[in-house]
Amino acid sequence: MIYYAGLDVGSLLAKAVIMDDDGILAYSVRSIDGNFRQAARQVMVEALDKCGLLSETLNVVGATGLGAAFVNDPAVRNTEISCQARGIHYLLPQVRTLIEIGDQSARVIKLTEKGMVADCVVNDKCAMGSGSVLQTIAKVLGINVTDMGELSLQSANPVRFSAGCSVFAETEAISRIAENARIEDIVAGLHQAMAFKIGSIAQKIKIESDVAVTGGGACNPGLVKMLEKTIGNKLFLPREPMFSGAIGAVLMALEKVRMEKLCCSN
Amino acid sequence: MEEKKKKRSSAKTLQTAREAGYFGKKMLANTRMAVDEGRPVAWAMVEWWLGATIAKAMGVELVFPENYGAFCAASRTAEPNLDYSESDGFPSTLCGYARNCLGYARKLKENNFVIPAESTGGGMPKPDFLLACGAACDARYKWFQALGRYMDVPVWLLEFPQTGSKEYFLPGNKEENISYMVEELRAFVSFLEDLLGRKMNWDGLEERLDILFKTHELAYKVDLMRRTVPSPAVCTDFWALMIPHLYLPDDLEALAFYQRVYDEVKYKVDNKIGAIPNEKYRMMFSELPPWHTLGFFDEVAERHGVAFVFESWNYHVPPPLLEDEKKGITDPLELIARYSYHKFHHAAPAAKEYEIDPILFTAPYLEYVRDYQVDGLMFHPLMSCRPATYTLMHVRNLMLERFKVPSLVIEGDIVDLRVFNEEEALAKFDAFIETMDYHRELRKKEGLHW
Ligand code: SF4
Repeated sequence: MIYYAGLDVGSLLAKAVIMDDDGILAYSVRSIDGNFRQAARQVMVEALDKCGLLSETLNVVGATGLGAAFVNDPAVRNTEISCQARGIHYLLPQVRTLIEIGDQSARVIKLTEKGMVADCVVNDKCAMGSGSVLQTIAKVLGINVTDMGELSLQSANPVRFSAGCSVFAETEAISRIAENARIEDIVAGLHQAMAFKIGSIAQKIKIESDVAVTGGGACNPGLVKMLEKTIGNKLFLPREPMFSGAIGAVLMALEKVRMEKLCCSN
Repeated sequence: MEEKKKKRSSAKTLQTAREAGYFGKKMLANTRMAVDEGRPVAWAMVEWWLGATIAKAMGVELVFPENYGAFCAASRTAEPNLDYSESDGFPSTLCGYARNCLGYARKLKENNFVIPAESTGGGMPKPDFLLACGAACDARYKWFQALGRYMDVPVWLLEFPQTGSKEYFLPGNKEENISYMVEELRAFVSFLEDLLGRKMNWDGLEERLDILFKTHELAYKVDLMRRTVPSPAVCTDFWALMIPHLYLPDDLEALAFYQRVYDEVKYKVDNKIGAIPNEKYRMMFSELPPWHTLGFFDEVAERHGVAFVFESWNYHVPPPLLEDEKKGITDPLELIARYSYHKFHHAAPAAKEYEIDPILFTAPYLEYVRDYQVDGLMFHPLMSCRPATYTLMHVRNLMLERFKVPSLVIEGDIVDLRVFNEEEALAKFDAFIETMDYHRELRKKEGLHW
């Protein structure tokens, strides 16, 4: 049997996926905790354990993400944008636009029918469109970031965040607390502001249906709902929205390895 | 993992490009020498040959703060100047060239106008006047006004009409603009005569103009040769070669140098030698480069075989003036006005065809995309420069719709390296390669010839 592994080492989380020719065998995710190399190694061991495999049995390892350089060789490294495109194409082949909301950036990727990158815009300068602002505001509100999605769905009256900037968002959140605004309304307001920001990036490349969302942001139903409202499209969520990058890393590594073999045999 | 150490500066591919930095140093040295010898000195904006040639014909030595900004950025010495201007209240969103210059001017003033010892390239000496120009942007008006107050020197501003694409074709519009510019230039000559206490050297001006046109003709021919596949020169060559044709085109040494550039590029074309050994993708770059990290372009050439075949329209010479337009003109000021106006409006027919405004920064790229067989555009929006940024999205959309040519947007700054993330830029570039592949297929399907 031939086995493949993909690693997506992001700024907050390391994700691993093990696959064979029939599909996905196991996933695993763990926090980076300040050590990319160790997190990458451990998340891989955990994923292998889940399907009872040893690292020696892996034929190809693909890596992507901010911390891909920390993945031990021999791993085929690839850019996150292409890996996200390949990963979502594998999971939901009908998708033509992908919105990936990570901790450090938000990306809107337009895909070809073969899962290649037809166009892409990235918001990496402003934290307002990325997951990191959620962490900041969760701290201010004294809540867990994973509870924000459900909380926001309970809001009927999202507060307005006037500035599309994460630094001001923090100050605004503090002011709203002082005004006794409900926590769920503050969270929903934040999601709305993020959705405007991401929506404005998405407009730059003219969204085509179907549209999917992945990354940590996709695990937040409050944000996804606001985003659907803002861009006026239904958003499809893959079953494991955090793993599209790791899956793409496997697929791109396989592409590269096959290409190299082809070149060698010619 | 063994990471290859990245180079910040570019190795450049042409021998002449490697030598071109000499002209930047020459300008600085000449102004310092002029001060020592009691000759007049000015700081001038890039003004597309409108006033600089006139000032030089009157014996003024010029230095260009925009060029100095690029020089400081390329040698990574701009940061202290940027910080110093910001500490004086200028916001970090102000033009990087302006901040570098204002920070430098403040240091100069605080040092009693003795050039501070650590100044990049030996530094710019205190000018006798400032030559500003209204072309292109708002920052340029205020920047030199503030500078004039720092140094207590007169500021002369040359207005430069920039016509909309529809207005350009209105009857009489162009001629009215030219007359206005000629009047502006006459007033400038009077200002210089009063300031310097000497008369204009009209013969000297004509001689200089003659040299300028010859230098520019060679530069234009070099641009045309870059249409060849593989391209004999790339953006990093151009950004060095532009110093003589943008700032010193009326200098005999620059003319002789450009003959060598022409010969070197021609040799490569004749022998089918590409600037990069494995040209796979041909790209254009708009508009102002990250001077602090030009090694980035060497990196993408090496990784992906990307040759940047055209870039930074605003720094290029325009196509030569038509003989018809030059015929019968005896006033050198009119010739100058016509030529500078032509620089900003030569692409008016393309702007009309694509219904795009403004003409500058947009229409030329829509013309060149076919001529240079371009696979993709790299846009470099600058937080600190509106003119070179606000048109980018429009051009991006048109390129995609009309020519199926995609664009890559990488944010940064000309001088301020704090806002340029090289790793992220390289990652975006890696993904952009397959975007270019895909659009190549699309162009083929649509019958577009490249
Ligand atoms: S056009 Fe841009 S770079 Fe040039 S002076 Fe104006 S703001 Fe600065």
